[in-house]
Amino acid sequence: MKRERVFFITVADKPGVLFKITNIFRRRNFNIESVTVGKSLAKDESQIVITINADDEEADSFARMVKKLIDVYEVVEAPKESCYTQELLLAKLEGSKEELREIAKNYGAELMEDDSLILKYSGEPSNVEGLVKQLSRFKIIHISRTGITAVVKEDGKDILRFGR
Amino acid sequence: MASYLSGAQALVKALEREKVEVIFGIPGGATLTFYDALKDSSIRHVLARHEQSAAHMADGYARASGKVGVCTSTSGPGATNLLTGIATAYLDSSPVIAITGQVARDYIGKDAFQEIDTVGIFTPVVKYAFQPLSVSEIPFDVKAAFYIATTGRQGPVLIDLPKDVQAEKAEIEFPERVEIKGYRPYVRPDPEVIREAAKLIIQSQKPVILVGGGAVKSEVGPKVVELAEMLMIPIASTLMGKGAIPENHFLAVGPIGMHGTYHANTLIMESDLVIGIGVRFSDRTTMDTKEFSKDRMILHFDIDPTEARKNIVNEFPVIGDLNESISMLVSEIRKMMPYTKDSPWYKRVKELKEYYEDKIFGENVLSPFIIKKIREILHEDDIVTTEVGQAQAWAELFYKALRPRTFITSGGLGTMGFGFPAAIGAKVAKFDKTVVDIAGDGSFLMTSNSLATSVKEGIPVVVVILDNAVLGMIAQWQRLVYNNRYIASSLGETPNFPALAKAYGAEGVRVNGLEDFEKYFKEAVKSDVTYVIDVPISPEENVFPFVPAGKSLKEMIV
Repeated sequence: MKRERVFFITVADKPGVLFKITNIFRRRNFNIESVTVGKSLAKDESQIVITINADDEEADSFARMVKKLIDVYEVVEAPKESCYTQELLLAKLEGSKEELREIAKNYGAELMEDDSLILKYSGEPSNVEGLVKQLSRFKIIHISRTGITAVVKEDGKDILRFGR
Repeated sequence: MASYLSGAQALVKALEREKVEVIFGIPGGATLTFYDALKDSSIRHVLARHEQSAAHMADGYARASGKVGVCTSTSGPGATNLLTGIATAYLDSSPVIAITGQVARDYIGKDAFQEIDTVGIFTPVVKYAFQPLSVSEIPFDVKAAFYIATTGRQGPVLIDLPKDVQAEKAEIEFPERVEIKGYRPYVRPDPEVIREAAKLIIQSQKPVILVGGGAVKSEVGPKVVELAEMLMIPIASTLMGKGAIPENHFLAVGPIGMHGTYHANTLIMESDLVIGIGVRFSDRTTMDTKEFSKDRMILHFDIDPTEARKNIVNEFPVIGDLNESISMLVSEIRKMMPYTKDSPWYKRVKELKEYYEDKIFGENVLSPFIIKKIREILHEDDIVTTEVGQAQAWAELFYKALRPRTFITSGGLGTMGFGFPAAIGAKVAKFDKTVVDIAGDGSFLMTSNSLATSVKEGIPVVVVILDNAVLGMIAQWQRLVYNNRYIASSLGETPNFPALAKAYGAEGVRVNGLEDFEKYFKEAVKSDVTYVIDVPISPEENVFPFVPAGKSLKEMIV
């Protein structure tokens, strides 16, 4: 069954690694829904969080193909429902401050009122979607979304783990 | 111990430390410094006439010897030409190191003369790609390249070395060993899983062993034979698995697949269990995958975890070193009840084998007899390479490989033009053995300029061209699958192959029929120069059995 999957990939922090990983998905014509990269705790390591839509077989195959890459140390794959997910949104807007303050309050977002209006929000990806829709009545100068980052809630049998 | 060396000298020294004896390649602007350092080395250089052939030569050398084959080219077009050869090695898990020159660091990524993103285009077809950006990285990268190429599931590795790094000098230290984080090539088989596998084998009534390229490389053959004899069950192979076990063994049934033997394909489809050893169940082997795995269990022994359930979803994988896995399996089965010679399955195997083993399908065919004659004349440790197409399929069907590493073919990528340069590489590795390229006229023309290399470097091989003046396999498909609608498959009777061979200083002859072939082939085997034997055959000859794409192994055309 196709569903949203989150891959947590711990890799060597050096050039070309992300290319090799995304190339595996690209070769089989999968669209990457989201990708985030950050330093991990260990020295010279990064963690890549990738979300794609795939069935069990595909997810298993991808996890093992990614782990096979020499610069990949560990791959954990989990269905999105088994993860706590967050996304960060930054939006630079023009329009009514009052209205924006109201929206920010409803969503628990932060409104930075400097020379320009910048809205900062982090939350469940679906809430980010909802907020973006609300913003359509403002003049949007620029919107940046980080994509999804996540942690696995608890280790269940639907979690695949390869390496280490 | 540190020494003050240039990058090029460090590279050469690192190669010497890996006991490299020969490099196949062509120099260019971005490798001049490397070649200059090579002049002071005892490493032999074999000058190819096209980089693709250099890679095939290194590949043939690796497959024949079990050692690493090294090839080199300059940047840009040198590297892109090398690519087909490296992809060929990758698909057949052959340990080849490709050393490419690169433009100076400051010019990388700026479309400089002969600059291309070599690491980018090679990455999908190598186990790993290194690009040392300082002299001090070279010793580690070379050591790591050899370690990666030769361990686990073997494969090619790229070292892309910028021109200015070749020239830069530094105090260099050479490591004795390297540790590569994230690379754990050794996988110990799980005894619990082996016990489970043994149970499945004992419970089955009609098992067939299927050996692949992994069984050739790991030289697990004797253990596989022990397993088969213990259970009295047949051993089939994939195209890549030919030679893993002696094909004249009384339990050997030859290859399965698109051009498998009639009895092997039949037995595998009658079986209730396939014991795959070092195989990847490629589409050319299994044909219709669903039919292949429908009425039987599939056991899958392999060293590469990514092969588990890749092509056969409902298989039972056993991951680990093949020699250990099969040893453990044999001792596990020994504890249980073995089969006897009287089993109905063995009787069926014997019956099919006796009836079909020497059967040749199709009328007025010469090629199978030519191949059988080659087998008759060659010693068991002589080497055969093949081109790709009909000649390859005939060799697969009618040449019985008796030792590992004596049947060398491009199985995965199916690269036309592979056989001749691979034969040259194999001959360099095993100079006292006869090496024969079983070729078609179409494939041979793709790398025939390697005649210059074989003559100039004194590397004599025999080329047998099954010359039907067409792209034979294309013509066969157009005949049988596309209702005789021939297009672009006719080559005409050019060139004059014996004259072509002689133009390069090689020997060449056109023979007429089997007897004539035998006479000249015996002469060719003794020749001091490369010998091209042109064997005219009918353009109508088909390779049978033939399973058209998309069909199951049951649906053989004969």
